Amino acid sequence: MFERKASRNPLAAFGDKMGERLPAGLKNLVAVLGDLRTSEGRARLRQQSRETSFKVADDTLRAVSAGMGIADVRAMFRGDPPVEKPNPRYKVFTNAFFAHIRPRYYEKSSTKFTHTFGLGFLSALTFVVESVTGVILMVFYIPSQEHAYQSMIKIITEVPFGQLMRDIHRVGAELMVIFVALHMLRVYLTGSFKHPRQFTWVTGVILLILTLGLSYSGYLLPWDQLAYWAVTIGTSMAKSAPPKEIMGYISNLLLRGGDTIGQNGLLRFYLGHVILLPALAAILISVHYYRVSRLHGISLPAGEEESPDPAVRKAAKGRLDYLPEILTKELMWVAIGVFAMVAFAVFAFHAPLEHHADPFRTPLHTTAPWYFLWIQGMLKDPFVLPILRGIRDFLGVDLVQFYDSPAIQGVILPTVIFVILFAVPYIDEWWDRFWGRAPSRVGKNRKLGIAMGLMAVLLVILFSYFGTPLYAVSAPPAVEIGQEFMPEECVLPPVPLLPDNCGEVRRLGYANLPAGTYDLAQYGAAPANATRFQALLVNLQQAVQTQADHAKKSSTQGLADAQGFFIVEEWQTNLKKVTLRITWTPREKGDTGAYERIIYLHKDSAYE
Amino acid sequence: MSTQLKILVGMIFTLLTCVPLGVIALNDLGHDLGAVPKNQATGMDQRAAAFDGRAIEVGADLFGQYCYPCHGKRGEGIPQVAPPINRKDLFDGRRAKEIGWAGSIAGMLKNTIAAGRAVQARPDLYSAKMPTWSQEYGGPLRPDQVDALVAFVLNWQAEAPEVNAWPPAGAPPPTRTPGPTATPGPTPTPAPTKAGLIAVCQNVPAPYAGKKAPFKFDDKAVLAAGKQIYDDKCAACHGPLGKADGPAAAALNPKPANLADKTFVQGMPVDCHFYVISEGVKGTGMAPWKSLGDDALWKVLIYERSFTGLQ
Repeated sequence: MFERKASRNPLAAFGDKMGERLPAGLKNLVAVLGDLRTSEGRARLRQQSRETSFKVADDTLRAVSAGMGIADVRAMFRGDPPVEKPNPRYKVFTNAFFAHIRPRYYEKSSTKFTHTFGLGFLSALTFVVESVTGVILMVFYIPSQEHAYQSMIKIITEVPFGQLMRDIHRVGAELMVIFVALHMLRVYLTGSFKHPRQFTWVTGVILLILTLGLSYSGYLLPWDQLAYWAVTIGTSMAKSAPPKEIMGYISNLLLRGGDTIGQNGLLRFYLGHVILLPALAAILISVHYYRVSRLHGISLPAGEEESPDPAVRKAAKGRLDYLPEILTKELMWVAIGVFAMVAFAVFAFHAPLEHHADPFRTPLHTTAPWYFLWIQGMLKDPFVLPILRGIRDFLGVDLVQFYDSPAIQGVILPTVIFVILFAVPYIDEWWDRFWGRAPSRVGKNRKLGIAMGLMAVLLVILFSYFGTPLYAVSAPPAVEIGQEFMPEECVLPPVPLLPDNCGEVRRLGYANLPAGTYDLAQYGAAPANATRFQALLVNLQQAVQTQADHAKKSSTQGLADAQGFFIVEEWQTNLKKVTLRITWTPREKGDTGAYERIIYLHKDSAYE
Repeated sequence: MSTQLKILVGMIFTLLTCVPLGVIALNDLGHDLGAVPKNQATGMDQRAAAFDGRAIEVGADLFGQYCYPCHGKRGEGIPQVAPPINRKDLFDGRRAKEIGWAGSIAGMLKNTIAAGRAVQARPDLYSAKMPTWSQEYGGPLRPDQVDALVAFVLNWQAEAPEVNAWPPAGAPPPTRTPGPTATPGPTPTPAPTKAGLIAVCQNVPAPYAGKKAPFKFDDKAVLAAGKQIYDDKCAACHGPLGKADGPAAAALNPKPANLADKTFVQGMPVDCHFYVISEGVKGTGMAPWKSLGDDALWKVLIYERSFTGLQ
């Protein structure tokens, strides 16, 4: 007789009946469908699915974090102690590829802000920011002579957030050089390069060179006058590498891709900037950081490390776990750093873009980028040459001829400086051994080293100043007046935080320049409630008058009887022609006695 | 700092970053976001206008260097030399129709400037021949400079006067358009005279100083090749025989060099001569012709020297 079981699920009975012939998955499905019929079964299902989804999430997180489950991640971000044993927060560093380079913990005192100022971290942060913004810019940039400048304009005027990306990329580039240089200075001053971290220092110096190379190769890419001439000046040094006929020729050819920078040079700089140097930097940063974090740890403050009090030494070495203390701290600084860079780029800074590169038109006062000004300063050399000349005159030993060449000053000397930089930790060790001293990182035991370091910094700053046009460069006086008031280039759009290089005339703008011919002699002094335009004329007249006064006192300087005229003409729809004309009495053969600087101003060009 | 506090600070700064980003979004995407009315310029529009204006400024500068000797300072044309270009029919399409140009006006201008005119439109009215200006065609200007010149010429469009530049044959030739032409001012720039050129020659820079001609001065083939280039590129100003009496010379200030003047050529040694034709002379109408290549320039130089017989 067929017996019906009321409580039993008929489907389950069906399943039973089919017995082992059904696959397990299907059997489970049948069971689930059966459970759905009763409230008790549904409760069981809910419970099961909660457990399963938690397990899936937990497993996924464990896989991604290489060892930490949900409960522990939660505890970590709440600042609670680990919930599992053994501590899963340490497992991450042995199991996961990306975390592998990070240490399980930092020693407590090494994380003091005033010890490191976070400069290494900030250098790495700027590298990441540069990579991200750089890849975005690459989408719109065409590395060709014909299109490079046009693609810059496109990035600024057509691509949403394009100008911002360019500005951040530029800010990041400058910051990266600054951070890397300061990082090196800090490592030097705290003696952190000493044994056992000598080779870490060497990788750091390589990174300094790579950073300079990255920044410099990017300098050319906008293909404007600023880029073209700064790089032309820089690469001209390669040309004088000795022996000039072989090394100079080859290195110039390799860098510029020809006699002068053209399409080949641009492509070389581009590929160096986006592939070669970033790849090398990524590898070197990994090596550098691996040594810092996994091999030796960040150096402790010297005073604590070498303290006679064992308690201090022990406290300094206390552990600060990477998870969560260091991680959250780093994320916080990333947020602050990115905010600072974005805000700065939006409110206070725009990357300059001058006129299209023109190999036939050398701008007045071309300089190398600021971080190479010291080399340019060495070429002008206000120090060594006069000393050598003195030696020649008094002692008869002529070193001037030997020293006074671009090969020595522009190539050999900088190379020697970098070689010394590489050797610093080894020289330092040798010096200690020479005097039979125990190596020490404490400042008071390294007075000479620290003094030499600070001296080097001062010299770099001083020579950088010599490298600027402020020092020992001047065009004829009339040209200087033209350049001051109506320079060849004006960075667009205005750059609020950099020195204004647009000159008064452009800053006054199209609207404030009434058409007419103005004899500057009539503007000796500013009339009461002078307009900005009148003030400009007065300033011009004063500049001209200064030169005329100079000429009265000296027979070679200044401009005799200098007279100035300022002419504004309506030239076209929304376009004015502005002429500054200075005439004087010529005193030398070949002096024409006249100078004219003409610029055109369009209503929309927004130099104001 | 506790972990939570660090997380909080990080979140606050992440949110704060949205403020400058929002500013840029309004600037760059104001129209798309509906935040800026369509008839108002966004920050990005202003930047675009600024670069357009800047291109016109560059074009004006180039026009003042290369074009004014034939076309007049304000494009008013010079009778017997070259037609006015500041004229209405050039911009409203009538001229394009006349010559059968099917493209845009900007395209017509660009094409004419870049490639020159192979065939003169009316040699009876205007004797100067439009040379090729773009480097692509052996001229001195880069493509972006040609574009800037087009932008400048197009900027006349709004106010261009009606001028009959092409009277029928036999009718009296057009006269000069009235209007201010030369830059006013009490003392015009004195032309760099021989003294000026000698100053240039006293300072021939490195790659040029001491250069020697790679050809013989009496080589007939070289002279013939030089003449061809000279007639094409130089004769408009320097005159067919170097006497500085080309059709465009009248409008030039400073005047072009008289290559038939023995004392003048004596003051200009061969290396300086080569330097001048390669790099041009700043502040004059003399353009840099480096892009023609050294060979071509030496041939021109040798032909030019044949006017005086000096080597």
